[in-house]
Formats: sequence, structure tokens, C-alpha cells
Amino acid sequence: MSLVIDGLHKRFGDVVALDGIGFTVEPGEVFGFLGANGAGKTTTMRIVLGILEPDAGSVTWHGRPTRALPRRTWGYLPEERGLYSRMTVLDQLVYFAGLYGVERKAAKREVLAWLERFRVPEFADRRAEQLSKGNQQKVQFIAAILHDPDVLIMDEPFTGLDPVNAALLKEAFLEMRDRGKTLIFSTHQMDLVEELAESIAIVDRGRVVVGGRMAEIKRASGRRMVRIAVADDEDPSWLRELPQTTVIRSGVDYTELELDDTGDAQAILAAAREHGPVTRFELADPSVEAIFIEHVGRRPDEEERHLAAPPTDDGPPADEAPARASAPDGTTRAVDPKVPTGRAAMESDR
Amino acid sequence: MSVFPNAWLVARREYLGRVRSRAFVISTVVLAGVLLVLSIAPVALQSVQKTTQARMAVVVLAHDMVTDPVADASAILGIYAESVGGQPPFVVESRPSVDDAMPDLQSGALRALMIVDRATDGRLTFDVRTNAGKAGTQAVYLRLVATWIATRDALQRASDSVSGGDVIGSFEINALPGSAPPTSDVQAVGNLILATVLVILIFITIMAYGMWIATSVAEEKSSRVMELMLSAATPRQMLTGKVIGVGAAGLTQYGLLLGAGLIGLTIQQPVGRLLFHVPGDSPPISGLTPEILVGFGVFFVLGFALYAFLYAAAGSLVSRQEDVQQVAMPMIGLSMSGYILASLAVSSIDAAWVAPLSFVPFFSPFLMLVRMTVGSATPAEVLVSIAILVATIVLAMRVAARVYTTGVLMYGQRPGVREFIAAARTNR
Repeated sequence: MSLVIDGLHKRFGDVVALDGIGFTVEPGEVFGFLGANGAGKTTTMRIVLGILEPDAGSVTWHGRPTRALPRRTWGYLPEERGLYSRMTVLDQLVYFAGLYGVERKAAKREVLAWLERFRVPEFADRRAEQLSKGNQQKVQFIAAILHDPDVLIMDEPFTGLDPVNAALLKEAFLEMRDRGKTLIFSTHQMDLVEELAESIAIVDRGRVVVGGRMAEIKRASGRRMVRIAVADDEDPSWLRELPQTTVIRSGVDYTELELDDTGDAQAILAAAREHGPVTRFELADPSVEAIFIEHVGRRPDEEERHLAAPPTDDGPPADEAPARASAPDGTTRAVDPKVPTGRAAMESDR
Repeated sequence: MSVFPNAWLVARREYLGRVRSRAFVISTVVLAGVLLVLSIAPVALQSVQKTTQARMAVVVLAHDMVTDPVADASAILGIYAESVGGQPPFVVESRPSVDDAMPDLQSGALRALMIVDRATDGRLTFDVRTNAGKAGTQAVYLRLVATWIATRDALQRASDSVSGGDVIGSFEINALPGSAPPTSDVQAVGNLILATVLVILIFITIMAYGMWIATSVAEEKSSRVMELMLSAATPRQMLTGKVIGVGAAGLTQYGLLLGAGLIGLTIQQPVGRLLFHVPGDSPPISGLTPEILVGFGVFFVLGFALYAFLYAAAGSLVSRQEDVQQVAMPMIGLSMSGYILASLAVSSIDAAWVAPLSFVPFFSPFLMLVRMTVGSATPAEVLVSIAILVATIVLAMRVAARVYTTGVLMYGQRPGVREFIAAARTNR
């Protein structure tokens, strides 16, 4: 009794968008869907919504194929945002809700309640073109949930929001979870995944490279991390010289180290004390970002760098790295260089 | 999933959005005003003609006259005016004496002065003085007036039995059974004009409102609101709703304009009588029979629907509104061909190509209408061409839905008309 995405394949001309993607989302779960641009996230979401037809594979919710389900099962916040610019916020939200079969009166009531919730009741009679991007995004979020869908699918919901609006949206997001809704969201922002997602799937080139419950994935990685910060230590380069450790992240606030099998966390603590008072010392599971890098070979917000980067052990050599092309949905995605790319080249010329 | 609840919602939004837009209101008001003025213009022109109408005076010196020369002059000029469909060349008035009339003749207020006297042999003499020369049509009118006055006078004097009233004892026309009046040249020309006007109306409607639809689709794509729509409604629902909504808005504007024109034509004569004192009783539009009106309505709606679906599909292929014109070229070309063929057919309705082409769906809204108006399309022919048109619309709707589904997502699902899309893509 869950959302089962099984073996989805999808090609656009010569571009392979999905290459057997599959994962399961439990009802009532918050699910993070991670991948670089062009990994296949949006295409997967569109197939789940029934907007696109897969070449192969299936999507079922509670055992029923998505095509057999009413559209109001789903709420969708697309990555490409847009509203009817000359319509008032109230009118268009009532219109969208109406398409999902919500009565005008009920829709109007809900819209006003949500605008109140987002602390913008005065938006009701404004035209969309009079709102800032961030505020339009809030309106779109309302459009996605007005019909009280069972599953809420959001493509990059937090992108482009200022911290205040992001916090408001996060609040609404968690409320939907508390109402028992199933939430699937894609993002590049790993801190949000850490904060919100109970389960994740990391996709790369149309395939799931790792998926499951967050805690299990972290545990299964078998990696041990140490986060450490030393007061007044302006040059933490000594950390790089410690034996049996690798610096994963070097920030102003703290440094994250990964321990080898034989690495000793206490030895690190001891070494740190010699450089000043230790303000932070934490033994931790690897971050989602570290797991992402481990499986995909680059950071989630990097999409081009792997082309230029020198060959590494876990990434493909640069000369074997897939060429990139613009797919017809406007996103970029990896292309297998062995497959003729005439169409892809044509698309990218646009 | 059924098309309708959502298609109606889409149509409603589209319709209200259109008719409430400033552009719609302004263009409708301006065009309606222009039409109203144009339809009243003829009587205004008539009134201008009337104010410049020449006056002539009659002074009767033959005191034994029983007939009324002024009334006779007015009557014959009136009959003349009616026969040529215009104003009488003179307004005739009576004056007591030559001295009374001369100053007005000299000042130009009177064009002519006719002095009627009797010679010793009993015949009437006409001394006409004019300030407009001796020759020209005016002299002919004056001669006509004199002849009629003299005829009436002579007849009156010859026989008491025809005193007063008409010189004709009785007058009647007996038509043979089954005979019909021949189509006058005037009426034939009227039909040609009517056919041309109807064809232009359909053509303009398809061009203007078809472009509305294409632009509206492209607008949804470029503003990305399409993404939100797609999860809520199927492409077929959106497509159908759009065609109905924009079509209804177009029909609304069209209806308002037509209404303004008809109001103008209806009030033309009362207004003419009231404001300009112009008499007139000819029907404003001759040749517009109920059959043609219904035929026009049917071809108007069906022709629009056929092109509208294709315009919508075309609009779905572009991402920027600026590109709409380019991708709409096939439809513009087709409708323009239909329009040109119909214009040619108006003047050569018996040409061999007219009848066959009037069954071709993209042309039939134009050509069959012309055949109905100026030619002799049988009801069966009209029904067959309507049936073909309806079948083509169903087909066009399917093709358009496929193109649209692919187009709005810009996804590579194979469309039914690949060439169409390929052409659209390479042009982009």
C-alpha cells in the first residue's frame, strides 16, 4: 500500500531520460528525490502524474495504476513556475481548484484561509503579475494543495525563496505531513533533505543509485564522520595532515573529517586540543551530501564540473564523461556518447 | 476522463478573460461605432443631396386652367425620381407673379421659373427662365414637366369624363401562371456584394480569432502556467475549452458588431425621416434570405472550429508569443486560399473548378457560401459539404490534440504530424 515506481524507461528521441528508475514511497512519508539537473527527476514526476507516458515500467498507488486514479489524487508544484499574470490570485486559485472538482465556494474559503496562513490576505484581489517571485511561489503552492491531494509532488519547492518565505513554506509542508499526506520533493539543497526527508532516492542518469530510509542509508554506508571546530584556529590545515582521516568539508563553522577503518576519533580530539579550545566535537553518520558525492561522483549542485575534472576513482574519466544536451523539456541531461546525438544537438541549437 | 466539466471551466476562464480585457472592450466599441456610423451614412448623404436640391417656381398666367400645374409638375418629377431611384430633380413651388419670383431666380435661390400662359389657339405656352443655362439634363426635365402639364390640360379640356385624378381609366398587370420576375441587374449585383461581404466576414473571423487562440496557447506556455494546468486538466480538455471559449468571445464581439450594424440599418430610415427629412422605404439588405443566413451561421461556426483547432495546435509548438505568426502560416495560407478562391468564384460562379472545390473542407466555408448566395447550390450539395466539413473537424480535433499534447510539453513523443512539427522546430 504505497507509491511504487517500477522500472521506468523513457527516451526523448536519442536522449535517454529514464533508464529503469524505480523506488517506493510509503504513505505519509516525506520523501526526498535527489539528483543533479537532468538526472530524470522531473520526467519521473511527470510520469507519476500521468502527464507523460513511460516507454516501459509502471507507477501504482495503493496497487492501482496512476492512469486509473483521479487527477485529484495528486498535487503538483512544478519546477517551472507560472501563473495567469492578469488574473487575480483568488480567481486563478479558485479556477485551478475547480479543475480538480472543488466547488467554487469551498475553494474560495480555502484560498482565503491559506492566504491568511501565509500572512498575505491582501493578495486575494491582486493580479499575479503584481506579486514578487517568492510570493507567486506561495500562490502556486496553494494551487497544488487546494484540492486536498493524497500525494503532494513538488519539484524544487524551496528554490528562489528568501529565508522568511522558505520558513513559511516549510511550515506548510510539515503541516501537510501532519495531515497524513505523502510528500515527495526534489531539491539541490541538502540541508533541507537532512531536515525534512525520512526517505530518499538519489538518481543519476535516469537510474536510482541509492534509495531507502535515510537512517539506514547512512548506517549502511559504514562511514564514520567527525565534525570538529576549534576556537581561534585560523589555519586548520593541520587537520589535513592527521593520519587515517580525510577532510570532507572544510568550513568556517566546522570541519568534517571522515575516518578510515582504523581511524581513531579520540586521537583527533587530542590533536585538536593542542590547537586551542575545542568548541565542537561530534561523531556522526555521513551527510546526505557525502552520500550523494559518494554515489554520483560530484556534488548535487555541480552539473558541469565533472566534465573538466581530472579522472578520479569514483567518477568517470573526463573523456568518457557523457556529453550534455538540452532535452526537450528544457532541462539538461546526460547523453550517452555512444548513441548518435543528432536530435540532441539540434535541440541544443535552439 | 470526460472532456466536459473541465473544458467548460477552461472555456469560461478564456471567455471571461477575453471579453473583460481592455483590448476587447475598446476594439468592440470602436468597431461598433464605426459600423453604426457607416450604416446611417447613406441617409445622411441623401439629406446632403436634398439640401442642395434645386427649386423651381411655376407662375400661371392662364387663368382658365382647371388642372394644377404645380401638382402635375411635382407628380411627373416624382415618378421620374422613383424610376431612377433618386431624388426628384426639382422641388416645385407656386408663385403668384413673375415679379414675385424674379428676385429669387436672380439670387440663385430658384433654379428655374416656368411661366404658363395660353395662346390664342388654346394651347399652353411655356416661358422658362433659368440661371443654369439652356442645355443639359435640366432642360430635359423642364421639357418633361411642360409636356405633362400640357397633356393634362389638353385632356381636361377635351373631355369632362377625365376631370381630375388620373388620366388612365384603369391599369392592371396580369402575370401568366408560373411566371417569375427576372433577376434584375441590381439584385444580381446585390447578391455579388452580399457573397463578398459574407466571405470577408468568415475570413476575418478565422484570421483574427484563430490567432487569438494560437497566441493564448503560446502565452500559457511561455508564462509556464501550462505546467500547473497539465496536472489539473488533460490536453484535450484544455484544447476544447480554449476553442469554445475564444470562439464564444469571438462570436460575442462579432454579434455585438453585427447588432450595431443591424441597429444602424433598422434606424436608418426613421433617423433619415426624423433628422434629415429623407423619404425612403427600400429594404436595407436585399438578397439576405433566411436560407443564406442559416447557411452563413453554419459555415461560420464550422469553418471557425476547423481552423481554431489547428491554430491551437500551432500555438502549442512555439515557446514565445513572437513565433506564433510564423507557425500559424499554414493556416493563414489555407484560409487565404479559400478567401481568394471564393473571391474569384463570385465573378465566375460557373467555372468548372468552383463546384468540386466547394466540397473541400478548408475551402467549403468560403466557396459553398458563395455558391449558395450567387450560384445554385442544391440543398443536397450544401448538406454533403457540411457533412465533409464536420468529419474533417473531428479529425482535426484529434490531430490537434496529439500535436498539442506533444507541443505543450515540448517532449519528444512522436506526434501524428511529424513534418508539421519538424518544420516548426527548424524554424525556431
